[in-house]
Amino acid sequence: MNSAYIIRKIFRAFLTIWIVTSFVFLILRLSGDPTVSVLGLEASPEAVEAFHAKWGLDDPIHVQYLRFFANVFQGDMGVSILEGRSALTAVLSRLPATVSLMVISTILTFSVGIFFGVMASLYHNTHKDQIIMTVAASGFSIPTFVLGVVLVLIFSVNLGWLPSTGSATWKHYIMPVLTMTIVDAAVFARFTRSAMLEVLYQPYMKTALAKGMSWGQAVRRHAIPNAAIPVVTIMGFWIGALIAGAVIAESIFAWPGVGRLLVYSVKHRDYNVVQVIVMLISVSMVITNLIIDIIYGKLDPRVSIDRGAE
Amino acid sequence: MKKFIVLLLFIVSVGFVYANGQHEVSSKKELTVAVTENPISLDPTATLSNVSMRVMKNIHETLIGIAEDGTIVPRLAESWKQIDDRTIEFTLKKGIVSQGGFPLDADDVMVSFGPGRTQNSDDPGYEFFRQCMVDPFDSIEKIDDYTVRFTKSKVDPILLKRFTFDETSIICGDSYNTKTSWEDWSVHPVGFGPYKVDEYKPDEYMSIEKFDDYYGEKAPVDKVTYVVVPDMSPRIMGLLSGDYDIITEIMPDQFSTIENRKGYKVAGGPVNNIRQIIFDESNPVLKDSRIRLALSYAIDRELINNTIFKGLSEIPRGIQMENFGEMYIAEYNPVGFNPELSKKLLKEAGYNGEEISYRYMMDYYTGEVATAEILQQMWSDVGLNVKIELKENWSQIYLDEAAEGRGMINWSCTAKLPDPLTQMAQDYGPGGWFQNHEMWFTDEYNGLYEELSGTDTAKRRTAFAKMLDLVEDQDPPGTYLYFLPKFFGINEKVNWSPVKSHFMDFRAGHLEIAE
Repeated sequence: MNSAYIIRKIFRAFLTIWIVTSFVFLILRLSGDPTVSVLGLEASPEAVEAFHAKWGLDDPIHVQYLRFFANVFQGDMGVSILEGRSALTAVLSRLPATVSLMVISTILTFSVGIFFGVMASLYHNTHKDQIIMTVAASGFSIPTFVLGVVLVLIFSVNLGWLPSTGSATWKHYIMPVLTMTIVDAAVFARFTRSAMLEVLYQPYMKTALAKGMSWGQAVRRHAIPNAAIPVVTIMGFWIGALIAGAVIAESIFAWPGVGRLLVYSVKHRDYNVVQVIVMLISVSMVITNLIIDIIYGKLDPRVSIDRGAE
Repeated sequence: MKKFIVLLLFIVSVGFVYANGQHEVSSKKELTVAVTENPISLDPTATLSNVSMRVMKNIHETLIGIAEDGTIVPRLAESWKQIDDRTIEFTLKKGIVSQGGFPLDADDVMVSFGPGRTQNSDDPGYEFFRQCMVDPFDSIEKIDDYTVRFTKSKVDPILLKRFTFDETSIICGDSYNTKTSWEDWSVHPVGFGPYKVDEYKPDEYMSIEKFDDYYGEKAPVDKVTYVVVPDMSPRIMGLLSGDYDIITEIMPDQFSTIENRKGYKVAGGPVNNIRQIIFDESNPVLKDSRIRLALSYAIDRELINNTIFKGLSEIPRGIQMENFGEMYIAEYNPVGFNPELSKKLLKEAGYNGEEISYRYMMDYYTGEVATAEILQQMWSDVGLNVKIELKENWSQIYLDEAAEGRGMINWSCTAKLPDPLTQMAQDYGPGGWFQNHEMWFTDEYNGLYEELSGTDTAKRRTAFAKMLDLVEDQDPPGTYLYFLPKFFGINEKVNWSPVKSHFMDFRAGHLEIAE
């Protein structure tokens, strides 16, 4: 891994974060103002003026923009207009709830999706394959919000087994995790199956068998690593979908995470909180894609990082 | 593969069985309410909205209260004496302690109304206090440890009644003076009400606990939790699964979902708030009062009530309430549904199908979207070309920066007191929102407002009748639609009935939970 490549990657990462943050900065300010949320509809013009002056909203937008980035570079992400405390603290206090949901969903999505995708390919054109793919097709055909509501209807309203909303106990995790997992696992199963079918009939698989490897060994040592490349690509995109899924799941299940905070803050134009969340999301996307680039190199020596820098 | 599936099923089954077996047993009486939103502050001078009015009186106590029949009742004040039309004196009850453990005295009143909180333009509670009192106080004097005298700068016909507003709640002065910051105080205020603030997380939940040393009849439950569930479907499902005892903001098309299930009911109806459409007179098409009148005559209000609210709301006689008492103009005939007259007015005005924008939001008001769509069709039937525009937030509708192209907007007018001065007169009057934002202005209305602000009841009544004529029949700044209805889903183990205001009253005598 040469230094030029790393510098280029880091530069691109900062460029991505800057573009995303700037875009959100402008869109938010051009499409709304927190004044009415805080002062109410009947606030006098003097009160509105004082509020704007207090939060620097009366400055031209380019001045606000430069001030925002100057503060960010000094580690100051601003204060939540609605909560009156540090925007970073407000977001970080919600982060554990979202991260715990995402981590469990990610583990389940990968393990279930990839496992059933591999199984379907190994039992290609059999009843097992057809059953797995039928279930998978049903899974990714259901919109997340419909799935969530259906789960609540069954397990909370009719059976009374699980709480419908909240995050206080482990029972509260079951339905949000299932909602976030079922659709995504189905997608991964479909992709994994296709990727596996691409490689299972390649000449190198026949060579491996001719060299005396068992079918299982050939699958583990040659098929799965080669099939993993397109699946890993999908994982990079999937992180974005995971965040969107968290927003939906958190809304359905009144889950007190970053997704709901984002919706609330956008609605009330709590600018600094939205900016922190957007930066957080773009940083995690950038880091994820960097990790995926590294995994590529490991999976396929032809795509080496050193060569990528040439 | 079989092993994997069996293992997965086993884990899920064990989880469900274990989950089903876990029941938290508590001897405490707790109430959980699912709401669309919680107030951004719990200090009554720091916010004023339908959402804040929902909770404030459970936490805070005013000097005096107002019964549903309009009579004034003592709260923290044991007696009061109106010295003249500008001056009033309150004597406090003795032996009352705050939620912070400090005894109530005149200093608490002085802090509540004092500089640093409500009196100076840079005080955090100044803006909402100004809206509540309209004209400032000349002086607030501590006469003795239990007596305080207020003198307003102008004559005020409803001076006494203004002390029933949430914004005039008395806070604990000792706690306020030792607060760490306004931000912390505004979400953990210390007052004298039957419940004290327990926890507050703005977009998640807030909880209030029974205040055991409350001077009056103690709160009927140990804890009330207001959980934020913005979407209606999760609120309904949470109610039906037993997670919530009461849910707010239910639309009539969902009534059967709740009522068809044993043990649940729907309650509610119109509150003391009138939904209106407001016309922006700076819009070139709406400058002509005949077009504004045509818009008003084209509306079949009864049909909207019957269609959207199953007839459960009511149509007011203009922007006034029956509980205004002697100020209620019962004989007043407001603009009604008259499509022929509407077409005639449009013809006279030379209207040629120019587009008029109508901005609204996603059901901030009950049935807002459905109402907008029906109105558009009614206007279209008389030849009006109204473009409905769904907006994401208030600022895209109400702020001056959004004025360009604005035609009509939604509004609602709460009668915070049974007097027109606190409803239409204030909104349209000098210093009100519409004049401040240059959407409507007439000298005649402002002159009538001055008369309404006097103390001669006969003159006030005459002025109010003229104001109604002016804003309904002559130069309308807007038009009324219906009393805003509010509906709640309730678990039948909870014996609670909504009142005709935004306040959800969980005080003694208004709430019971079956064992």
